[in-house]
Amino acid sequence: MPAPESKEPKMDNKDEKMTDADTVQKPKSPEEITALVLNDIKQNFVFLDKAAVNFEPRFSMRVLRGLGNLRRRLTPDILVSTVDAAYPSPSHKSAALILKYLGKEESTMEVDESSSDSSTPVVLPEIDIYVLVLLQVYLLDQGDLVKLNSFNDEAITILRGYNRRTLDALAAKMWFYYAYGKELNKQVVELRPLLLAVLRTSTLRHDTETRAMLTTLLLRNYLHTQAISQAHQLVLKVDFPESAATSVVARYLYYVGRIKAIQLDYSAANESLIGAIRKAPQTSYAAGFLQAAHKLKVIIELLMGDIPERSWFREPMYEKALSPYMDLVKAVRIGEVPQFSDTIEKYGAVFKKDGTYMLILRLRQNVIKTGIRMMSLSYSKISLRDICIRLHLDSEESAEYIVAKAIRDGVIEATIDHEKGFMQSKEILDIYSTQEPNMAFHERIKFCISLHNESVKAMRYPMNQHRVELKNVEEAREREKELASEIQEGDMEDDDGDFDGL
Amino acid sequence: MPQKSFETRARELASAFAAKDYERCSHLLPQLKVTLSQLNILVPRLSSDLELLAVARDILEIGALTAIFLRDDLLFSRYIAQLSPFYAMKDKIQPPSSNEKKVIALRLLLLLSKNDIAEFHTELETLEDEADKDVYIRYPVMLERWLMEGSYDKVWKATTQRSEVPAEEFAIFADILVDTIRSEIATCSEKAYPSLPLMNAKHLLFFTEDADLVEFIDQRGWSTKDGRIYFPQESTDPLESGLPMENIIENTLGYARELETIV
Repeated sequence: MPAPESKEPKMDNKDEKMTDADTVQKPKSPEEITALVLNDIKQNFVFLDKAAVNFEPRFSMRVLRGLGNLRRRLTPDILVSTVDAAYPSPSHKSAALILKYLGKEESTMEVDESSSDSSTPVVLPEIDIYVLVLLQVYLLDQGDLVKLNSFNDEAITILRGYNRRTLDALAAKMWFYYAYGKELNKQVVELRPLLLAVLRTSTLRHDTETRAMLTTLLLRNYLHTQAISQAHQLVLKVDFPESAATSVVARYLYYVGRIKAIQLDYSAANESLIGAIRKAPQTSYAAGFLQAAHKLKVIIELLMGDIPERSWFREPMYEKALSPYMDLVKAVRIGEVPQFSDTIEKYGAVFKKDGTYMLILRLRQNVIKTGIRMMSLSYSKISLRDICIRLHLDSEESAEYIVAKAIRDGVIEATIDHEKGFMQSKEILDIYSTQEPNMAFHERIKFCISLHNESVKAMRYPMNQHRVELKNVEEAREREKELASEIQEGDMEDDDGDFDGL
Repeated sequence: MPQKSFETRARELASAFAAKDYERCSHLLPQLKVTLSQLNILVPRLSSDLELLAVARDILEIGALTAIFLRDDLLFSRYIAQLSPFYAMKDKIQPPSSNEKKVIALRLLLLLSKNDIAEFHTELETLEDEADKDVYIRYPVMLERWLMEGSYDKVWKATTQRSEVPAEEFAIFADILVDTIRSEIATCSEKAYPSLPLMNAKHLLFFTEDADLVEFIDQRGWSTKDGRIYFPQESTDPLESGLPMENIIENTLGYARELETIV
């Protein structure tokens, strides 16, 4: 069975990374599990500290990557202990907020309040926001939307009080869950002015992560309410920072691809989607996104006139999700309109849920074109009446007009003889004598060059390492000089020896 | 006081429109729009009075339909732009408008006649399902489908036969659409037929008079001989056009430059 096989190697990786968290293999007592999770969270605090001190965004990214794993193991008790560990006293604003939402106010109120008078150690904002995000995720997973939304409002007010660049990645995450909560609560339209205002602020502050995330959230918002021209305007006017996290860039490219597809710019849409699929993580965690992206890609390829490869549909991750699309591809390939209409009716609800229904309706003309193309390729001469019958068209007149249009669009190479009522195909031209191979090569070369440039730009060198290298280089040079001088002296001695020999 | 005269004027407008007195309508409308903006309902906000919003919407719709009858595209587009926030809030404004679908369908038809297919599809996305259910909206959607497929005879029937057209406003677009179809068919015919007898050409292009046909032929620049039309042939032999040297040189220089650039 393909599915479990693909999961097991990933499980092994997880075990290697967290040798102390054997919770996957061996069931442990609840206290031990709690202790292990707390350990992980405290480790994350250390990372966040390092990130703030060294201005290295990579530590925050690492912490956030662990968020997906952590969220499955959160319980109210763990969160309470986290609050104790993170905040010096429960009277701290965020601590009080979190405890309120966990419903645990009374139990921890006994802690001494005298500590609030003495100089309390300042809580690192990163840790503050991180714990707030943990609670957001927890409330979301509990499905408690009302609590989530009111918590979000207060958490966002805390977030906007800070203005630190090291908070960028965490802030972006918080905004994501905020917007998602509102979307689930159907408060989509009211969200827009706020998102736009925060986008302006983050652009002024050069806050790339938040900017990227907010642009993506706004696009999602517009597409949700079908306000496509507004989404298009946003894409045109806002510069998307390409240096943001790849997951956000992948989402952005997907939305851009969607907008372009609706506006009939299929080749640009295809490029965006290919970029989105490449940038998305290829693991099973991103399955939902990859499935959605692949569905859209299939439709766009069909609209461009290409048939997508069958090998995709067989991959275990996509098989079930893409099976209606596979039927669709089959119908388009055969070129028969009744079968196409049947497929649409059968899977209509699925397509509407995926939001691809309107795009699929456009495929009707592609079906007819494919049908005509097959006729033209297989028959050198075919009467219009036969075309009409085979393609299930309504009348011979329509058939004639449709074939004429197909010829004009370049779908087939043929001529029509009106009086005798038939279509005659032209001879097939040798493709190597045209420009086609040259252009195909050009496209591929262009792509490889851009890939090469991007890889060179993305290479990272640890800072100050080159100074160490320089030192090494200097030492090496000195050694070389010594060697060279030794060799020279050695040579002269030998020469003397030779003379003697003679 | 302004309220009363506003209502009377609104009623006057409605009766003038029903009587098909479009000149009078276009005279009354600007004054009404000024009153609307004074009452703060020209642009609907959540704070506006909801009842009056319905009245405002109806007035703007009458304005849009009048513009169609007066064949003023720009005016129609302006009314549509003013109407769109009303339609966006349609859950809140009661009663729902009876003219809404008609106005939207007319907008789609206008886009189609201008050949603005991208905008057409963008607007269509916002409509989702209603395309099949509503008779007004089905009209431009089906037209677009037939135009894309190339079954121009269906388009011809739909635009010229009164029985197919859902409302009179749509008939006004008939002329523009027929012109569009004719030029499409002509372009297709140039590529598809080596030559065509005149009688068939007349039939294909939906002409009734020979004189129209001759005029059209002159316009397109075709040549006639012995009662047949000959279309100008393009030489499609690729070898004749010579090696595309410039292109190849340009590309190769580009590659060399990219490879040597220090990124």
